[in-house]
Amino acid sequence: MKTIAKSAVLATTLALGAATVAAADGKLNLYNWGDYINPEVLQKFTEETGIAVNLDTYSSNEEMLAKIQAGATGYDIVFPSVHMQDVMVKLDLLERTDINKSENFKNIDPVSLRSKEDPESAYCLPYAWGTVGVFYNKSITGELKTWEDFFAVPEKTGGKITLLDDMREVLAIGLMVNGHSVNSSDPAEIKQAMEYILTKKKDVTAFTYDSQALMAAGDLAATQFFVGMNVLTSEMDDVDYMLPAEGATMYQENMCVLKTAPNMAEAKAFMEFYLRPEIAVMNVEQQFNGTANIPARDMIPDIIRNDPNINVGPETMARLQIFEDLGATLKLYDRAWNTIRTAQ
Amino acid sequence: MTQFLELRNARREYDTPEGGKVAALDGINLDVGPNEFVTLLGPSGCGKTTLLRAISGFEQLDDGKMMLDGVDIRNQPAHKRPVNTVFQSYALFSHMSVARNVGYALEVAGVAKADRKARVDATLAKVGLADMGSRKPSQLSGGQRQRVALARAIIAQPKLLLLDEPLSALDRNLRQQMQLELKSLQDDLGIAFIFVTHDQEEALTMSDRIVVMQKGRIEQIGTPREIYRKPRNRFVAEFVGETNLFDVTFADIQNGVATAKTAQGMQLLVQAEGIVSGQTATVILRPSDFRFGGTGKTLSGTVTREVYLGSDLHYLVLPDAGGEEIKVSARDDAGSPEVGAQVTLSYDPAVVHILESR
Amino acid sequence: MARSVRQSWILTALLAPVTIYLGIFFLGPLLIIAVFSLLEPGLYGGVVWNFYHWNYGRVFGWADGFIEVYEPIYLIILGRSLMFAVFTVFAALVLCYPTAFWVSRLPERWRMFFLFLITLPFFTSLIVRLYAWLLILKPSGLINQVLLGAGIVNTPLDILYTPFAVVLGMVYVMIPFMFLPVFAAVDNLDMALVEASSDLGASRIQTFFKVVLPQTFAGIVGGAVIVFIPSVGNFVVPDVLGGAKGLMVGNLVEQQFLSARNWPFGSALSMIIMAVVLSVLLVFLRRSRTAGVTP
Repeated sequence: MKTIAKSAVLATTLALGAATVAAADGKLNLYNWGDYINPEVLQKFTEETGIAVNLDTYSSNEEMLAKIQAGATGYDIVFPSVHMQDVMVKLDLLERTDINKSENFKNIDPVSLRSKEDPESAYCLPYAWGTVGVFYNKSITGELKTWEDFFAVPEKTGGKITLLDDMREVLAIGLMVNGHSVNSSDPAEIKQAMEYILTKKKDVTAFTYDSQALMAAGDLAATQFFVGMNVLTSEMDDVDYMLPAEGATMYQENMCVLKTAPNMAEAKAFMEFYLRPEIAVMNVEQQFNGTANIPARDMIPDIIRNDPNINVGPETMARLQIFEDLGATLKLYDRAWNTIRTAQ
Repeated sequence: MTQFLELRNARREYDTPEGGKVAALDGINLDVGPNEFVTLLGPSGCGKTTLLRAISGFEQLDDGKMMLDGVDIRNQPAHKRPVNTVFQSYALFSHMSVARNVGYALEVAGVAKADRKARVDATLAKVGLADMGSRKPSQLSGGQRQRVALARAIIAQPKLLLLDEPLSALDRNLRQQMQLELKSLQDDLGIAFIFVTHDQEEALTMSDRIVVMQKGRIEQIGTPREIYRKPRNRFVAEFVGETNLFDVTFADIQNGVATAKTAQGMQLLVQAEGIVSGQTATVILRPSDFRFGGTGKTLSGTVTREVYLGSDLHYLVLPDAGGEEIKVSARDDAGSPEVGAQVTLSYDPAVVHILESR
Repeated sequence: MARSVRQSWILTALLAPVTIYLGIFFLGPLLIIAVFSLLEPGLYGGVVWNFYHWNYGRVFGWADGFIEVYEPIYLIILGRSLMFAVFTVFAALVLCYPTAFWVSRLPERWRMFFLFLITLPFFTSLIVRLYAWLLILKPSGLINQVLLGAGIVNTPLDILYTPFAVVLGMVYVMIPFMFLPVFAAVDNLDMALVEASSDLGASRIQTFFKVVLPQTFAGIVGGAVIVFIPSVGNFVVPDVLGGAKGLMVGNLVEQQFLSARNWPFGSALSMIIMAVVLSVLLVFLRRSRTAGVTP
């Protein structure tokens, strides 16, 4: 960590000269998930290029899509999940950037080109990926390996568990434990998943995104959360992260330029900038998530690289599923989710 | 007179912001007869409203005795006392109709609806509001509201009706009319009224007896005539009616008549009953006790001012001997003197009243 | 005549900004919602310009039949939200009404201080305040620390993520809105009326129900309405303090726009909430008018 900080200072010092040269008063408007980019990345970009960066945030793909559809203008770059990128390509909201023709694109792991609508990465650049698993306080729960273990915690130990307040993530558990795809469009499978969650609801303390603070204070025994919570829990001896045997989900967001982007050149410059391994690794250090940038992976601090649950191996990778767009089936998921939340 | 309400040595004290105590009622003794119209008269802050509120039960006495019709009511809560009040602001229930306002005392006492309606109608008729029952108080004039408040207070046939300056919000004509109506209503009901006012004219007009109060004490109790003609002290004399007061020394007691001399040397003749020569006192003559010219005992002076009041004329006359100007009232007759005229004032020594020395 | 024409022109000119403001920022969006509620949802959000009554059918008994069959789940959610709102109104009233009497009898200086305290929460964001409650209510939070420390309980109480926490949060959020109108009414209550009632033989209880309550009823109605309306649609409190376990109709609307991509259904739900709130209001106002208790 220390050496990285040093090199960052060095880079900053070197960049200062360049910044004065490149003091073109360009602008770049990012629309990203909350807490999903290391502020130092933006700072460095501005120092190097003189382009001022504005950052707005959203908390769901649909919120971002709704705003863009409703005519929000001024944003240059958005960070949709892969399935939302597919939707946005279909809706003709994204600009073809030909980022795949860039020299540094060779750094990108071809496995991360997951979009069905953009298989060559002609539109968007893979930004970051991660997993959604279970954090658990092993001093309370002992070792957990499966979703069944997770749901058994309250009854066995009296400890509390929470799930994410997210329709897809919660129903995904029900689908995975029954051996189905997390993108199933079969009403019977969706119903089965719903009923599984319903039987567990009494043991679930809450559906919430607020579990980090509760976990840190010891108020929770286990919680479903994004891999990023390791930022907090890697310092806590009792808390472990695991990806359940029945399956877990992964997410990947890509960096995309909007058709309506007012600062197209600046947006492309930022993409190029992010192709550099030393930039990609800055994000990993602060976010604890995965990168598609292969050379960057060698620069990752040991604490992240050596954790098999963060830096997953191929056999774990095999049981991860990624969300796809559901189309009209979304309605069934929505009602299943409403039924789960309404049940007493 | 049989006593009906009896107050003995009633005291009520308040804490002052400075941490001391001030007596709003400082040893009140008062008897009221069963069919009597008694007025509490005094300037604001004299304790008359506190006394009324003590009788109605909104103020607790700190000390003393309070009996009503032979029952000790001092510790009875307000709603248990057979006493009703007409409030200065009328305190009508704006969310109820006139009829429901009037019938309120019966409603809370659980009187059956049909009976209630009959009595409400009869009471409304008594105060001259026979067809107003369905209106809201806000739809009535000030005088009508006053009558509703009155009807509401008498419907339960209280033994004692308390009236807290009920006429002060009315204009002069209506006030005078209501004064007469109140008096005849009291005769009609045959119950005791205790009426609070700071208006001495109102007090003189209506009362069987007037209680003049000042600083939590009773200064004098008496019929209107007694209060007016024979005020006990300077306060009562000055508070009730227009007054000429003379500080005098008595001398020359002859044939039952004494000469009273002011410091300036002006002389008045006074009936000498109970008077010792050399004694000092204050004597009082009302402006109406003087006549211009005429015979009998006289004073001479110069007219300095004239005030025209319609039925009456008021003059200020500076005595030749000096001292304060004398107030004189006269009928608006032809032949009244003009300002600057030298006049003779005559009076009857029998009406000269000597105040108790303090 | 000329004068009254001129006056009406002046009145029009004075009211124009308000009217235009309401027209643009209230009626305009309302119209959009009304239209959207009858259109087909776009596959990826937005609307398709086809008439589509199943947005309402999904709630009231006729689902589209292609993708789903009817279930009364949305009616249940709506009913529960209404119940919660009513409960919030009553709880807030029970707290505020006696307090208003107490405050109105305080010396002027203390009254102003108390009113200042009541309005204090407006200076901070609602979300921040609710997260503060989360920290207070959680198992290792302030309340449990005090209770454990004092030996009143042996294990931490489960307060956070319960319906009780939701009601607590709702009442907390709504108290200023209930208190201010109720206080205004109570403070305006003419004490002579209370004395008159007592003087006429009414007991304290009779006086309360026949005089005090009707005389302050306008404030109660005002407070109840102001609290009821936002309570029906509130979705932040159930999420943060209820752990999203009891779905409220407000959450449902939010979800239609921010995760289910079903704008028309969200619009239809909004129209239904509005209709329910308006009819409750009308019934309430009419009943209070026939009871003779108009403000």
